Amino acid sequence: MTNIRANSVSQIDDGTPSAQGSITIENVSKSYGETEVLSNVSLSIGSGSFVTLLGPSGCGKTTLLRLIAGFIEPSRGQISIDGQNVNGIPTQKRPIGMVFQNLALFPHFTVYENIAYGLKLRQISSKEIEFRVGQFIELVGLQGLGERRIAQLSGGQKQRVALARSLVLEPSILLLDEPLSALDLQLRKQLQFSLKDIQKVLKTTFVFVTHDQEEATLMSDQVVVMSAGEVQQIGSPQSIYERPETLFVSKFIGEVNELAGTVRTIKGDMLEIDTAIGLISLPKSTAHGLVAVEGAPCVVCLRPEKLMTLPTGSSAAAGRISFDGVVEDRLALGPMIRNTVRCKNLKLISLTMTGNDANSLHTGDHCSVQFDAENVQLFSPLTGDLALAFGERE
Amino acid sequence: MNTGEPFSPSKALMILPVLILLGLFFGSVIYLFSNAFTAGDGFSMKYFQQIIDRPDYIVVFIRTIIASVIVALLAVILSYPIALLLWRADKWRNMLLIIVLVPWLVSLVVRTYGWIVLLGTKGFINSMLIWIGVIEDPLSLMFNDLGVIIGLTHVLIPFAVISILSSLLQIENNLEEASRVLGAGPVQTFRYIVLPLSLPGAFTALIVIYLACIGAIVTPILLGGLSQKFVGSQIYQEVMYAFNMNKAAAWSICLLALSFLSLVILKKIERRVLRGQE
Repeated sequence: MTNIRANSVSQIDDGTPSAQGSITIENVSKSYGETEVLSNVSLSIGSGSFVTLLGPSGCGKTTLLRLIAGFIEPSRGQISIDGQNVNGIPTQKRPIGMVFQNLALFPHFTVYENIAYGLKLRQISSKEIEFRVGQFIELVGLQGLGERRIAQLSGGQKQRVALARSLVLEPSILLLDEPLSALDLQLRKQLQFSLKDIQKVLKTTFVFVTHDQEEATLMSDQVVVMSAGEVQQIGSPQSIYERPETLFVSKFIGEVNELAGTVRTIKGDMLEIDTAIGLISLPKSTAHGLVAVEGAPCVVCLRPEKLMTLPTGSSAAAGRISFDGVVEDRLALGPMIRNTVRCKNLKLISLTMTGNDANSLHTGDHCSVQFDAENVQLFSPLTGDLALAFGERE
Repeated sequence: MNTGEPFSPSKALMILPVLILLGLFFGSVIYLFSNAFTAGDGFSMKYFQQIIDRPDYIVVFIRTIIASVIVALLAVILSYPIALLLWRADKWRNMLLIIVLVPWLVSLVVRTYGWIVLLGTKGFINSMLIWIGVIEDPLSLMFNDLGVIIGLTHVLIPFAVISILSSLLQIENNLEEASRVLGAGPVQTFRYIVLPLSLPGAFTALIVIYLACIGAIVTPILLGGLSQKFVGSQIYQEVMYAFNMNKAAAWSICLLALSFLSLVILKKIERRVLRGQE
């Protein structure tokens, strides 16, 4: 057992419940030489919330996390924790905990020693340490494994040690850098729920980084969608899914049917869009982040569940837009049926509840594809890095 | 690869170099033993008796051991900062490593003569110190144990640097960050995380350097005192000046035994210190 005599002053309060834990990020940029990996990010994270930074790899989400942790300093802008500017304050004096992607457990310590490390640095009596470590070993479900070496643990157990090691210090903020990415699906699902549960019990602010949108929507109160060093949208998982503000967000969260087009004419409140499947007339309110000018390129987006596949001849309700198509494929997904429909030269995906009208359709049948104009979202096409994130060219 | 290939004579020929090498190695060892344990016609411990009977010879052994321990510790302690610097210097690491290793490109004898220029009574260091006024009479830095220790430490430092560096490079890259997040300052992080994890490399260096020292010949001859011999220089003298091959062989076997015993003890210490580390 290593004798650790601590002499560092920590701002982490012992014993008091973590009522704090708010983070404010104001106009933060981070550049390495010529390349700007984070540009002008502003974000406010409330105390006790579960916030996910979501984006494709290289979008700057990990950089943002490392800025909060204090491993790196912003080139411009200010980061505050609990209303206090932390620029220039070293990591060890910030009230944070962190779970690393590679976990970064100390291989020369046992499970117990790993969890006790931070407490020992804080000069806490060994009796208290024993009690607290025991408590957290139980919280994360590692009873009886205290004397194990790190090399003797499974992936999921290591994960739990990393979590306990940070949480035992009761930080007001816990930063998690893709901690579940190395685990298999089954274990990941299981840990996603235990993470969420632990967060609810401790009321710690969790800032979670992931590139998995499913994980993000499942766990968080708030999702920050990032791309190319910029914040694309901030909102609840539901609002980000239902009301994406940019084409990037729309494509990154869930599945979407895309129809490239151009604005043909503007008549009052209506836009006429020329697309590969024909002319579509949409209200101006569906245009998000698109400056509607005649001749402007645009993308018509439709969630698969908003697209109905009906037998030919089904009458379209008022205001409903309808096209003819052919059913190419039908996949039964239990409660849903996933139809692949060909309209002209475009393949569209539609999800319908099992037991609806579409049931009578078979592969190869002609059908009618219908959707409500208000369910459509109209965006500007992606350019530059945003397009590259999906492997597209401008 | 097909392991079930039939035997072919041309392939068998390929193990010939190994056989020659092994033959020469064991042949010389057997020859050494036969030299040490025979006098006249039969088995004899005469030469060992000659060594044990001379208290000044025992002093040679003790001096060699003490000097080797000092050199090993000194080299490891001095190498730590260098290894840490190289570890930190991501971009410049290879470049700096070359600078550390460059002395190895120069012959050991030439390097040792370099120390004579520096350490001599009228050498650079003494001249400087007298010029500054720190001392009035030159210090005897050479032709004594101090000279040998300085020379050997210099020669063996690169071993220690490489060994410690390789241990440091095996440390997972954000263990330090993890330690900081848990509240440790740089000093504590070094004390509790980096140092313990680099100890295996330091121990390897300690053992290798110690073993290299107790068998050293050139440096003790060039920088050591005439009356303060080391085991290596003693053997050299028996062969080159006294032409007493049998006694030299007996000395060598004593040295071999000493090395082996030291290795066993050092390994025991290492295991105790690193206990619990995988």
